[in-house]
Amino acid sequence: MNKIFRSQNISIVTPPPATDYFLAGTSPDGKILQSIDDGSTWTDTSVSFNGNPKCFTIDESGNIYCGTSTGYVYKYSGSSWDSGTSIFGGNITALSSLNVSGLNFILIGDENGVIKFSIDLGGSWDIWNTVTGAIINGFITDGTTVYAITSTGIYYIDIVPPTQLQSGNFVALIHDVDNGFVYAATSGVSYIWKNTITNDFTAWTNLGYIIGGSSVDTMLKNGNRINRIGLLYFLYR
Amino acid sequence: MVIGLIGSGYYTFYTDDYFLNMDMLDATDERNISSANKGDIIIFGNDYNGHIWRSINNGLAFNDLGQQFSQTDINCLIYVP
Repeated sequence: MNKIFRSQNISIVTPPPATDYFLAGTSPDGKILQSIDDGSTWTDTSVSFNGNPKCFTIDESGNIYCGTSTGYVYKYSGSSWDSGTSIFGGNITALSSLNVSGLNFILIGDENGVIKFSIDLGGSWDIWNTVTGAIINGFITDGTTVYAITSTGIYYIDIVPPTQLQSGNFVALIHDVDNGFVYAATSGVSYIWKNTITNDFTAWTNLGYIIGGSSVDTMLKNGNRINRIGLLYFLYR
Repeated sequence: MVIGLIGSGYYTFYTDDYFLNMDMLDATDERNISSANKGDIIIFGNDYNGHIWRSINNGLAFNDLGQQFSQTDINCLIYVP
């Protein structure tokens, strides 16, 4: 699908909602929509970024970050979005807040394999590493080291150049922190991979093939479990 | 429980190392999905027609909430507690 990217750089004050909420980043007009009723209705927050919003994360202090299609990062600190910082020249494809060795790292990756980080909540950014020829699609940590999920594989990125631990076009992941497992999905040939040893992300096991070549786009973790009887009932109802 | 949302109208439950694949969305034009959840409430959108879908029962069923503000692409979603 062709996307229409616009260049704007406007900081808009947005009143904080009184309750929890969802945010959606959209195209082609680069809007941030907000819902305070669990998705029933959505309000245009009138925010306008440089480029279209592509990804969100929240740091340990509750600040929200949004990466855009033109390489900008914007930060919302409770009452307004800032005027944005140009990080990359292209599309931001991954944005995560991770606690690494007691520090809150904000990690950001782009479509050209470049990874940058901030340890002062977005005040400054430095280059971390580059996975040449890859699209960065996510980050995970075991608490002391950082790994990148990319279009060419899973990499240990604490050394230069990064070390590939598992090949594949990885596009989505979820970290089940409670149980020490990461589930990562590949595109094209669609498999789900899981780290072999709890809280160790150096070795991976292929769990299986997903329906008919479909690609898992996104993954969620929920603490609530559904028993098998309930699932089977739903399958055959 | 981990839920994978697949951009072709399917989604997959993953429980205890078994995949339970289900085509329940009747949303075959859904593609390039992004998602966020608040407990059992799951919201997802796509970058094809800008529709928002919601489940209030942990993904057992989704309802199409329609297109929001004529935006054709939902690129990303987040739940802010």
